[in-house]
Amino acid sequence: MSSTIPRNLPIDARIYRAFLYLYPPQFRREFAEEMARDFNEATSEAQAARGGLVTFRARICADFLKTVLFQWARTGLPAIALVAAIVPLYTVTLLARLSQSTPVSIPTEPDAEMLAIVLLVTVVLLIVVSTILMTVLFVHPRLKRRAR
Amino acid sequence: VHVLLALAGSERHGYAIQKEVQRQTDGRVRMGPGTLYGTLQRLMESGWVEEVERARDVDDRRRYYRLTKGGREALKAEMARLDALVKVARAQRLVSDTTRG
Repeated sequence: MSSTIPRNLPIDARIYRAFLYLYPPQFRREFAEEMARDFNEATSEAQAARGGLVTFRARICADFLKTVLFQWARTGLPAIALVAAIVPLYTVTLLARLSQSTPVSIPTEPDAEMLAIVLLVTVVLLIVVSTILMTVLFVHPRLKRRAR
Repeated sequence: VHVLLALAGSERHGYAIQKEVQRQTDGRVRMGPGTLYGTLQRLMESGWVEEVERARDVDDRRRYYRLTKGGREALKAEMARLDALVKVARAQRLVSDTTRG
């Protein structure tokens, strides 16, 4: 689909084209142009039918909501994001519990700052590592399947 | 199955597939664009449907799709399965014989 929405289109078509940007990029690149064209044709037909436009809009909205979620789920990205969020949080919680159960001497103020930085870097590294791991686990096999 | 059946007769573009599904089901099944192209994407990944290379003068902007050999075999297998199911239903008088086409 072209990167800009033509200004001479009816408002319905412009809104629909804008909403198509919510689909995952790969699906959008492959089908958005066809979907926008089909929408225009279907709108013309619905306008001709009495009360057809309201039903048509409701059907298109339902179809859009259902399929945009499904297409994102297919990419595996929600699972990656979820794991990328859960793994570092769980690790930090575990570390905090361990530190509570073992006697640790409270560091002086300059050391506390250093500890905070180290913790922050650890969390960021964990997010990066888990994102890479999940990408390799979920996205890579899918690409291989598509290549076959 | 609806999409495969719509493509059984000839190659079609997306909107024509939607219209054909609607026609074959007497308007009971109306596929939205998201559902249709999501289905086409999966069918193409399965190797059951492929995009057709068409001459530019036919319709430059449309993309046409057709069944592959594997897709036709899958459709036949599914139709045979449904046919067997309907036969069982008829034997148990769950389906009226008047619906026989």
